[in-house]
Amino acid sequence: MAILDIDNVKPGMTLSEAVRNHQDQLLLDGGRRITEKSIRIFKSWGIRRVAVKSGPRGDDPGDGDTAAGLATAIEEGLRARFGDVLTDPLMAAIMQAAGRQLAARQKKKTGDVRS
Amino acid sequence: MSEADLKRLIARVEDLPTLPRTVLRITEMVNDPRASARDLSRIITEDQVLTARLLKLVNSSFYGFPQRIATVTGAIVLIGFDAIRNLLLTTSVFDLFPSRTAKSRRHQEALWDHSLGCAVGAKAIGEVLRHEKLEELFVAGLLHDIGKIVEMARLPDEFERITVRAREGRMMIAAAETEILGCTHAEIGRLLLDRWKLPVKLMNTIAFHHAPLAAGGFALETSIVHLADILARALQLGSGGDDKVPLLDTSAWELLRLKTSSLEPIMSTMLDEFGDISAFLR
Repeated sequence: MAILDIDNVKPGMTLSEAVRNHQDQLLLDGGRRITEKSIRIFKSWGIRRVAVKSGPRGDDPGDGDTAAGLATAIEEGLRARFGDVLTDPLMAAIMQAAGRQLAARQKKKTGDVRS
Repeated sequence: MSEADLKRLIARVEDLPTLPRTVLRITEMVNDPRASARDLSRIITEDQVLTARLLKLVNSSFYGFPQRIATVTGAIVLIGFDAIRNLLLTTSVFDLFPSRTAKSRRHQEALWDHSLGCAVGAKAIGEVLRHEKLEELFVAGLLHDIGKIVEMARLPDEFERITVRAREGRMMIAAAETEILGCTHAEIGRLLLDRWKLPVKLMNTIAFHHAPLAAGGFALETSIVHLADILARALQLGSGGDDKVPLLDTSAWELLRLKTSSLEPIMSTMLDEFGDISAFLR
């Protein structure tokens, strides 16, 4: 699995995880092929990154990579938001706490979907 | 921006909507010492939508009452006149600015989520600080960006330019607003609440949520909303029109006297309550 910035996502790729908007509404389910229209919809909802299957036949290396990719994606997203203020120790602490909370929620959500 | 400039801008915004008649009557009644719970209940129950919303909210985890509250009078007795006025106000305001296009609807929904994130954050911070007026904090959080709603609904072209400018210039939306409109959403929000004759505390909290210490006697409540706004942005609850997290005002943080370690439990509460209350208010 690879987490790709939305600008690098191409039609024909396959989603490895469902994409949901900020209201948790399903935009496209995991396993579905991405089309130009779905990329347009993701962008219109402000989706920044999606998880796609990495191999040509959609081989997925497993949960370890998923968790690591997720943590990286969350941190990258937060760093972009906090970019200007991270030199402030309190803001850095807020960012780290938010990262832990978001990762925990995402992990729970992914677990709920799989179980 | 001078008051005269702001008024000229507001003239362009044309007729700002008035509050629903029921909410106005309730606001008057809350200030009338002779009014009883039964009088208030009679007015609320004339409006089926308000009645349904009120009962949904008092039965949500926002209050967490162990028993089910089935009547409006019961709700009034339990949570009080001020709380009822605030909650009804909350649930009515966003209806006053209907979106005209699909794009503006998406902006508005994202802003609604951000506002709700700020509201649950203000309440969660208030709980840690043992603040007595939690629903007041909730309402202030929910309405803190009401000026942006006015911009979206009445100045859609300018609002589009503002969001583009904020994104491309990597700046806070307030800075882009100042460039393009000559004033910020906080000033527009203050004017709207002034026109609606809403409490001065609420008006000042909204007007100064980016500079809390300027709110004078309401600096504590304004600092709470200021921090809640930042935490909602950090948790990516909706969008305030830009994707930036502003710097927390040092004086506001000192005034709150919170420990850094309390921030993560507050965020956890925010994420828990956001989903639950969102379902009840929609």
